[in-house]
Amino acid sequence: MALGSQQCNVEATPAESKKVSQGMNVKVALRRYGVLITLIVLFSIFASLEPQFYRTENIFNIIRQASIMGLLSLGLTGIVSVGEFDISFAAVATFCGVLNIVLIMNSVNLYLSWILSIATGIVLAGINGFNVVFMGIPSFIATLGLQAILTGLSRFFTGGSVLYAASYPPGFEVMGRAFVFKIIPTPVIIFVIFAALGVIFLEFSRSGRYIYATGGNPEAATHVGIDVRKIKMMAFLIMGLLCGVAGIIMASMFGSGNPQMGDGFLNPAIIGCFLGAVFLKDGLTNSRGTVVACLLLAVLENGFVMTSVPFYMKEIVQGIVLLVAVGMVSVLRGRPVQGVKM
Amino acid sequence: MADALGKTISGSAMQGDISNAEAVLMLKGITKVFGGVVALSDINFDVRKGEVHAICGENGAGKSTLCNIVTGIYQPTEGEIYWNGKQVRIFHPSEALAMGIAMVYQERNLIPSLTGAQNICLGQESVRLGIIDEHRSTEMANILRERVGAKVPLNIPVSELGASQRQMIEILRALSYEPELLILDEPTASLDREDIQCLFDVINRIKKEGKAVVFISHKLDEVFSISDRISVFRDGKKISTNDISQIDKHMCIKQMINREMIDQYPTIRGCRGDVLLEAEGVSDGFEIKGVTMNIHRGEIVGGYGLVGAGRTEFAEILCGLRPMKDGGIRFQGESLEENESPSHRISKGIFLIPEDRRRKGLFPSFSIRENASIALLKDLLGVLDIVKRSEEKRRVNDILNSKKLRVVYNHMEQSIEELSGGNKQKVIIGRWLSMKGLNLLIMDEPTQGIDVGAKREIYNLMRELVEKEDIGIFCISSELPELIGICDRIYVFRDGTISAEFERGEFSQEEILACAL
Repeated sequence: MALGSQQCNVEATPAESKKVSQGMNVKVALRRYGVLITLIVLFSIFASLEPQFYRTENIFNIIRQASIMGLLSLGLTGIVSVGEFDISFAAVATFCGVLNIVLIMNSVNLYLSWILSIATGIVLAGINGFNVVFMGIPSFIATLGLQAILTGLSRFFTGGSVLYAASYPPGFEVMGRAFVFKIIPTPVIIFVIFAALGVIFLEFSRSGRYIYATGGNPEAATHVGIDVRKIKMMAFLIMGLLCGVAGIIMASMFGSGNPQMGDGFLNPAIIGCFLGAVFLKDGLTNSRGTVVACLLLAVLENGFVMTSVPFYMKEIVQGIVLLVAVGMVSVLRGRPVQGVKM
Repeated sequence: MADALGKTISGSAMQGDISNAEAVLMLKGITKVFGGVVALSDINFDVRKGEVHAICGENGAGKSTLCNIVTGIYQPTEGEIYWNGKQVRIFHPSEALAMGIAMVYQERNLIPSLTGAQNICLGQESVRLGIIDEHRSTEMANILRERVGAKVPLNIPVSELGASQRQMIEILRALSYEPELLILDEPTASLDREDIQCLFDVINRIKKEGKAVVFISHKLDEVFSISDRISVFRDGKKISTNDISQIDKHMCIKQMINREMIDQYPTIRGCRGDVLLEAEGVSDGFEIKGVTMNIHRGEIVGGYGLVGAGRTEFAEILCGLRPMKDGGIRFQGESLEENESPSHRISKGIFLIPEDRRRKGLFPSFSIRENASIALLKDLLGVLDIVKRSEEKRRVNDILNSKKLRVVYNHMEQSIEELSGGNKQKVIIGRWLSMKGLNLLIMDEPTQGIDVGAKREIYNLMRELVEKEDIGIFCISSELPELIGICDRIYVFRDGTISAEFERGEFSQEEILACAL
């Protein structure tokens, strides 16, 4: 025991360079596209069980259900990709939503209330970033602390119950309840825009590459001149922006300030992020995977409602899907998949 | 039985040994191969009761590998281990401990929040009804301390003790297993003179109890003052074993050095240009205690020294990775601002190719393309912050296929992990070579873990760079023949300072090594 078996520095054997043919083999395809395949299979099953399921309205409804979860999950993807974690995002989004309602009740201009809510989200995420990057508090603990504070503050502002404004200004419903061309819900438009921006930012921009580099090997990143602290801070601030947007969508969608309105998105957004990690990338969180995974979760949720599956099955199946998907990829690649360092 | 014993005695007598019958541990023909690299080859080695047997050798000579085999961390590829005359196989450190082999490692393995006594008894506490009997544990530890004659306090958390006191706790912990053989790996690395004397007293006392000690060190003064026999290792082979009376320091150094200078080094045409970098009394308040040196354009300057002499730390100061406390650095005639960020230094053309590729150089989750282009993304930006993918591919293609590097790979979207060590290193070098404005290239152990062919290519590349591109290279290496083969000048680091400077004409392995020890 005392002989320090912990320092068994097993020689790192680099993966032998296997000359696999360029063509996709089934194992690799299953590993990389498993989440997408599952999404298509699930969609087909629900569609065959319930013809209402694949009507255009319902398809948009599915995406609408994915939108808030998707925005939060995309933000989390950035944070996990720099090697940190955030448990406070649902509380931040809730707080921004409640704040939006409070501002409107106090006759603040609608557009100004949106800007202030989003700015608040960014500031709150900035506090997380500061605590993690400059104070050195492990991210799980730092964000857990903020989550507790914000949960309390949201209750304080709502007096513990649900806030309703006497009247809502025209345009208030645009963020959550309106339709474009009478059929596309606005949250869907917002989600599609942010998903596109998220994919472009994370996968194609320099900052995105630096985000993955920071999470992949912070020490090597420092050696090539990347300011790791700045990159981590950036990931938190982007999460804050997305929390703010999600907050005003929720406020508009529910038409009230409910101190629990974001709670239901916490687990699905985390599951979406990690389920997405096994899409394309073999266990590395990535924006495309997150989008696909969130759609999958929304299909499950919607499909269960449409086919009258008991309500409690949703969470059970979400959990099973996550464990099976990540476990399968881990087995298929013969190495554990990346985790979060908390 | 008696017959067998007689044979052993007569057999060993022919080799000039007194007797193997009293050998506690005997290794026969131990060979260890790591993924094609021979780390130990055909080692015969024995330790007798009541002796201190020192193992000397340069970094990478195979000393630690040998100990890791004896303690069960590694399994030998070939060869036999005899313990008290019986052949054994040791699969795990716990088995070695149970047999009576205890080792004190270079790295500290103590739990900081526990007291000395608690650390010593860790894993063998006396327990009553599931509760640790602290009193008895403390007593046990105290008795052990008295027996050994150490003076370290045992009742305060280890985190509050100094380096040498912690080392002593480690030794006590190893002794608490009542081992017949104690292995000490560089035990004096963090000790000052007084504590070293104390440690030697302890070792002598253990010796008198009839226990055997293996003492690994490259500090020859210490080796000669404590050992009974000395074995010299080089390049995974045992060169000799001698009684202390039959060998002197000078001979020892000669044996530690690789005599063969293989013809794998490029010819050197001296073309020293303007001074590029001048460091004046640079220190960081910890490892670096005043380094003064200069590097000119058109030359490769070597940094030799033992591990822990401060070479890497000095390079990190130059690159802005480690704060400088005292002293000054002039680069191209201008003073470098204190505590500039690494990206500032990079923009001035100071690039570092770090030691320990896996930890400091590679992005294991990235493809070859992403690894090669990470430093030059700034030059590849299109609208907003978006990287021009086609431009990136073109540049990476140029890097990988350049005549200088010739990386062997399948396609650039392949994971970097699929490349061999030499090709990984080439990708990291290429990362910097393709950038504009290279002035000073710092290479820390550039050929570590690379096969001979790739080494040669990297040497040629380095000479070509200084002679044709008129840059300066600072090359840190623990392999002296390598530095002698490619450098114009060599600075020798010792204890965070420069202990000597050698010009190309005056290179001598013995002298350089003597300055480092």
